[in-house]
Amino acid sequence: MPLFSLVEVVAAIREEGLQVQQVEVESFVQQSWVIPLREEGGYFFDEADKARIELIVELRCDMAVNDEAVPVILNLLDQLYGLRRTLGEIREAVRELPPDWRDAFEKRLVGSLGE
Amino acid sequence: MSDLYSTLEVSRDASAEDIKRAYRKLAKKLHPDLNPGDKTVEQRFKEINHAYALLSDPEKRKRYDAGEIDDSGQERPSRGFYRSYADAGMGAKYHGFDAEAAEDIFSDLFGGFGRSRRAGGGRTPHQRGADVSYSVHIDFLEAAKGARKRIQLADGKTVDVTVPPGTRDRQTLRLKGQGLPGLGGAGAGDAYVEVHIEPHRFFTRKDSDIHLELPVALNEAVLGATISVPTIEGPVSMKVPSGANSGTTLRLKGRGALDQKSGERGDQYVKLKVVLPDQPDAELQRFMESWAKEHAYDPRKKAGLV
Repeated sequence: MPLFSLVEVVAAIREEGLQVQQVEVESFVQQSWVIPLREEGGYFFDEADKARIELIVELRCDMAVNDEAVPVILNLLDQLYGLRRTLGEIREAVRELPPDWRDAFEKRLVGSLGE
Repeated sequence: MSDLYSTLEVSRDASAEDIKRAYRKLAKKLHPDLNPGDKTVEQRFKEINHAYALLSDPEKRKRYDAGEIDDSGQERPSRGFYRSYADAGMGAKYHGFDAEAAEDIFSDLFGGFGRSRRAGGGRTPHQRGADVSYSVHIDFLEAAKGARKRIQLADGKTVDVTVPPGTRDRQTLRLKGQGLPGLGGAGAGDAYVEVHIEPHRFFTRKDSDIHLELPVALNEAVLGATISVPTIEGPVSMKVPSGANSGTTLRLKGRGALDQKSGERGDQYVKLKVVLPDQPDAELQRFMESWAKEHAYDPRKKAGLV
């Protein structure tokens, strides 16, 4: 898993056609929108951090989301992805149940979700 | 071959401002990170991105309108969206909120599995199985000396439990990995077995010490004797000093139960109880009469009862 320095992550994002300045990324970090690894006085971004910066850039530029609304959206997205992971774990747990338990579980869900 | 204007859902004479507004509207709706799990939006998002990149540039738009360039143009290199990392379990540091969100939903299930996780600290992807509790009744001597007991678990499985020497009443033994199976390949929980010790016919136990009330004959008490005393490990011989009385307590050092903390054995305390013969015979009565004339004593006075 490669880690990018601040300069490298800005260059890599620009290579993908998005406009971003180093000071913008720094301000994202200061507002804790992005949480890179902090070591030896520098920031180190992983792939997920990089993709998150790209999302923030697109929210602000392509979708005209202002800086007051960005943390609201990130917060809701983080909850959404967290819930998706919880659901994924539950799905895995259900898969490991004995078949008749699984049937009962699915019947119950179909009943309440109406599928 | 699709038309770039229809991709952005604008007419061919749309102004630059219209195009920008249309693009923003579509981007908000179709950005892959705002639509986790929806596989179709990614391609649509790429198309509107590409259409906007070309139509928002006046020079390129003019050439496109003149048919000089087609709509294949220069596509942005493919990239990873945030959602692909988030769903793959990366970026977990950002998803602390769900611990609390899930906690209110799941708090009455699975022993409240959200509880151990805190927001901001990331989450463990696997969930250890729940612990289960059992109780088992064991014999006094088995607890004191140690034993192996076979108990049946809730799922019908039987396990052999090692009851260590010196086990106390209501002590809990842990059977690692014998609880409910874990989720997502995580380890099983533990089974906790609470031990209930049945009382013994004549031994009692206080911590690691064993207490016993031992009947002795009148002559053994008066003259002293070496008698056989039961202990948890079997009979041992004990010397009763002459003049021993009811209530005299003698100590057999190291004959108690194992103290699990110190690793040393406690003591056995033997409290003597002088017992007359079932039917005092005439000889004893005559002896007592003559003895009392010379040696009368008042134990009640000595005890302050009169």
